[in-house]
Amino acid sequence: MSRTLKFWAVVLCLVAVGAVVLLKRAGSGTHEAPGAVETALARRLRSWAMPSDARRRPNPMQSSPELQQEAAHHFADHCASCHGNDGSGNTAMGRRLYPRAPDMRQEATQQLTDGELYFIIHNGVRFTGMPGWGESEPDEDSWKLVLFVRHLPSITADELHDMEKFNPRSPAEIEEEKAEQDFLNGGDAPSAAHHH
Amino acid sequence: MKKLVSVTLLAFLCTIAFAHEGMEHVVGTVDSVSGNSISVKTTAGENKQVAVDNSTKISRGGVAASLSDVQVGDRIVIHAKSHDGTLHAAEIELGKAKPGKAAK
Repeated sequence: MSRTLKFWAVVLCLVAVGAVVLLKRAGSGTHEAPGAVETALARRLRSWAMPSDARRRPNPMQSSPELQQEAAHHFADHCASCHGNDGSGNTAMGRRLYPRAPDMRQEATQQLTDGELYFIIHNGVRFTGMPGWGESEPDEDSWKLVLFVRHLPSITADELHDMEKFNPRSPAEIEEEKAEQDFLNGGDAPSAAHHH
Repeated sequence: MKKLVSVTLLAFLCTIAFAHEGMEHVVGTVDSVSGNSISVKTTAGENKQVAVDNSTKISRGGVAASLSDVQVGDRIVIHAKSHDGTLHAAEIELGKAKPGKAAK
């Protein structure tokens, strides 16, 4: 065995031992966010595992107000539970995932190519909370979501307000909303005030 | 089918994670309006002060309205977020019913 090979074998063993020690100490819980090194390594691994031709794929969809609205409603219904309507990731789910749902308005997401964003939406990311939404090609919905992700840094309050109507609601929330509307229309008062 | 199952599962798990996350619903009648603050007599009999700012969406019967449209006696539903001990209204809906008709 050459000296170089021995060196890398030792490094690999040390990394493996370190990983085991860290895992045993921290457990497999998600209360603590991943550290900077783990985040950097995971992103590098995700990038490395992505086929290069997928990274270079251009978005076949052209942005328009109608398409952005359609994508916003889709995002509100399918993605906002974790990512938030504004893409901040600041939701009850997003803050507790491991890794955390990213703030997609920031550079780490916005610097990804359209092809990379599409690949992530279409295929998901293993060992994260990101599911692969795409079922077949062509997947126009995922390309439209790529355009919406690009729009997130400049999304307006009116657009966010419009999206709220498309966020999933529990049966209890639907019932409460109906009771509030009845009250506004002159009906009886709802049984009690609620928090969400 | 897989997409449907995923969406259903997410919808089931995530009822606390939506846009109205952390919002308090204040339901009652308008007791007074002073500056940028609305005093509400809630249906539970409490008095609540809610601050209004430029980002607050106000509507009556689905039509956009403004703070000056808020009348004493109006039925009102406010979705507000608590910050520094103060309730800040994100969204206000005013009742179609005429002011003066008491909330039951």
